[in-house]
Amino acid sequence: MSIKKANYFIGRETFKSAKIFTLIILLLTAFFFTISLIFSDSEGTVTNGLDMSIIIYSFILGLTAYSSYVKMLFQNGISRKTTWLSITSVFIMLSIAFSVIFVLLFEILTVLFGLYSNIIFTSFSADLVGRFFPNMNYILGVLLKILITFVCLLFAGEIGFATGTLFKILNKKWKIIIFAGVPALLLVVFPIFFAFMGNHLYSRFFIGLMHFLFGVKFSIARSLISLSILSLIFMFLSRLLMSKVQIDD
Amino acid sequence: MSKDIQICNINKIYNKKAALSNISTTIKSGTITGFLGRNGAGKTTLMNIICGRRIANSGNITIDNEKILENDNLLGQIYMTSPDNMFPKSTKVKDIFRYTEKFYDNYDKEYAERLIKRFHLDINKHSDKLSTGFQSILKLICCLASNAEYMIFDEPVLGLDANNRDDFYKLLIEKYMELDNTIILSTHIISEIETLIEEIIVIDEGKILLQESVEELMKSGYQVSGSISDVEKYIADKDILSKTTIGGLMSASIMGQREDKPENLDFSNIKLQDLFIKLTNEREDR
Repeated sequence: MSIKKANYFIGRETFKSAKIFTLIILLLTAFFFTISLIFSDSEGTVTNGLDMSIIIYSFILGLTAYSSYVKMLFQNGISRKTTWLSITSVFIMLSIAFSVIFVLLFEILTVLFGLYSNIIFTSFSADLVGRFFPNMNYILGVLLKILITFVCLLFAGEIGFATGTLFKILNKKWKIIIFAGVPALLLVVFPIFFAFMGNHLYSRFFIGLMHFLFGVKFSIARSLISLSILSLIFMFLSRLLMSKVQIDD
Repeated sequence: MSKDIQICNINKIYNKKAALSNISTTIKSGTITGFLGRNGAGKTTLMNIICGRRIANSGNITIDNEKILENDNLLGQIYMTSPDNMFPKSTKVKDIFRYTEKFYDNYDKEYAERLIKRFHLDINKHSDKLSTGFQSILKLICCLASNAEYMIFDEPVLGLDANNRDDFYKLLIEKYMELDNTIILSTHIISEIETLIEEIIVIDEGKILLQESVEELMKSGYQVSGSISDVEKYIADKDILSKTTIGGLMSASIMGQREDKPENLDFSNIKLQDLFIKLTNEREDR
């Protein structure tokens, strides 16, 4: 019963921002499509921009979940467990809705770009499906693209939610150590240190790690499984962190 | 079935300092209890632990032997207003009322609408764009209209003018008479709530200094007023809490039972604020 109440609130609030986001995406797409018609002589490939923006949106939604939803739910007598359950279930529903809507939109755009301009419109999921299954049945291909987009969105939302909640429960000292220290270590200190050691050791390790984690290099199935497992890990982590959340006096 | 709130050995530590030390008490159902204490005494921490917003390091709080923490059923019977704005900043006031209606099964929509008109609250504004006073009004309307079994008010009159404060106290009493629910009230304006509260819990340095019914507490002292010389003569051998002089008149708060009643002096009930100052200063002196 409580989860229904929490879902009503989170669902409505998320729908408001998702509506604005979708409208902006549609307007941008219409703008770029018009531009491509005007410069119809040009040739090229438009790729990844839109689906990356949805993934970033999903990440930000997760990152801001604490300030947007948690306090209000605590105000209205919702427990930490139900709060987490509700946020996670709304993220899953939103990821399903977004992946269906945007993959279908990409399909329409691909056809439209193909008909009216020389520009080939493609997306991250279309790239993957095209690379691994070039002769796949069209309907199955669309379903696979929806699945890939869904897993990516869920992963981005969950990593955002876990990061936002972690940021909330840490004190100032640990916030600096984790949110400034770790990126500085990974992106500045280690690359410089390993550069002196030569052989691109760190770059190779980093790229290898990314391949291992996301599995994109190997197969779509591997990639889907990796992303699903990572999403579940971050889901579990956010549940753990949610149980520690406290409102300041 | 007991609807009392049982607080059992609650400890809370902030930055290695005890905010609450082994607090145990019972908040009787169907009473208005005042949480009094100086700044940083631990009142807000205790209230936040009661409604599950904070987690105690040890101890537990129960209603009818059921822990409140992480219990949606019990948490759904509590509404706490606090000085902190818990509402989403970008949400309009009218939407906050809509959500509160969904969260609380006994929410009284018509009552909320009446109060919105009475306090001239602009429901089309975003909650963070309201002044401090109107933010307090928004929280109070939500709480009163929720018809929650347990209402907790932490500094409820923050930023309210005298008229609105008076209105709020009247509404609170009306609601209490209607629901016979449990109300916890914490404010630094003690003089305004002394006629409202039935039980008093004084918290100081994370410990309960005193818990008593206001009626009993009022019997522990009295106030005397009259000409300076008459009052000075009368209080010479008494335990004085405080005294004030205005022009040629003096009034003094005295601890203990009244034995004689000279005709040239006026006697009245002791003020809760004087008792509170005496209690908390005594602890400081020790």
